[in-house]
Amino acid sequence: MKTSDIFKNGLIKQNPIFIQLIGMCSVLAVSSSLKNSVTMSAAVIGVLVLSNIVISLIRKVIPDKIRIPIFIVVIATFVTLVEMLMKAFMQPMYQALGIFIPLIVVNCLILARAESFASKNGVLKSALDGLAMGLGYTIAISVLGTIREILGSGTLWGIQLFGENFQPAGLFIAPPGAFILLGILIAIFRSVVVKRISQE
Amino acid sequence: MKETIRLALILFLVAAVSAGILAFANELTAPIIAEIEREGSFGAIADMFQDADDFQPLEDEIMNEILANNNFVQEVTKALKGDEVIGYGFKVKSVGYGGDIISLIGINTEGRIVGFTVLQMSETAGLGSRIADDPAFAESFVGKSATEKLVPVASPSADNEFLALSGATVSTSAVQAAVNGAVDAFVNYLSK
Repeated sequence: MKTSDIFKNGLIKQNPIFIQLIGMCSVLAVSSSLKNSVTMSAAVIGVLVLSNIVISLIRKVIPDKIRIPIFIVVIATFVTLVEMLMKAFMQPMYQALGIFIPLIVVNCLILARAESFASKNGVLKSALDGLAMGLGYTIAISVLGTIREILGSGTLWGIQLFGENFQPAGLFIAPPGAFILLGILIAIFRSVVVKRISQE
Repeated sequence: MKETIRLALILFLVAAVSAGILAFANELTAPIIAEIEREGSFGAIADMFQDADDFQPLEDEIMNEILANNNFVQEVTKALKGDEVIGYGFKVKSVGYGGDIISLIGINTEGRIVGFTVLQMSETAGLGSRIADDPAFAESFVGKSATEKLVPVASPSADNEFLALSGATVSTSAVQAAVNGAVDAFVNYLSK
């Protein structure tokens, strides 16, 4: 697989959120503001790239029967590392994301890449795949976070966009708003982007 | 049988390596995290009692009595000016919508609330998170009487009312429980 294909896959063709619909729990919960979305994405990219690298490195020595528990140990190690580092050096952000950092362990996006890519491909390709999938995740959650923050709080990256009289639509901050908006975004993404790719 | 033992050993090895790495990382970050948490609560108390020049933990004897009878209060810090106690900072834990909320309530010796700050919470961003982000919420406690139970209302005016956040009833109630826990501890053990 060529490098460009890996990126095309991660960002568009197999976009984890818009196409594969995996790892949705954190996406819906964390995307209430752009800042949260971007920080969460950074944590996900970090864990995804690192766990893909390690799993690719040890893919030939781990027995098939216990590969899943080993994947989870590797992923959980990196997630715990990220959690400790955030707690020590990014305290405010850690508090905003709270429980969703440790929950990256059970984010199926990461396990899915370990199982379907890193355990079958070389180190460099696996690292790139982690990065590409992570960026696909970043794009999706950032778009969602931007729209939700503007409509739901009237701010972007915490900065007030409108005057005092702006009445934000609280629905978009709440979970139902996340579902509705995500559905609309998936529909748009699929109808525009995927159609163009299939025509190629 | 042999196969099972081999698999268990491999898994054990992987877990051991992982535990080693994490123990090392914990060694590095634990002191920093502890320092941040200590500064967080100490700094917040200092903000509430600007006149105070020293802070000390409450005597064990009274503290244990409070812990045994109060489900919310976790720590009490005395604010001192010279040798005189001018108030108390209560670190209080209650359960909100997204898990534990740890907050700090300052009560002076005259029985007035001097401040409210959330130290740690994971409430819904934009809704419950306003208990920490909305300055009007924290301000609605300042100056209120710490001798009776507080209640949340839409536009607080009386001595025992604080701001109810619309759309965040669970978070508001959690804070109410926390503050009343602190008031309770103050009235029963410290106001003499």
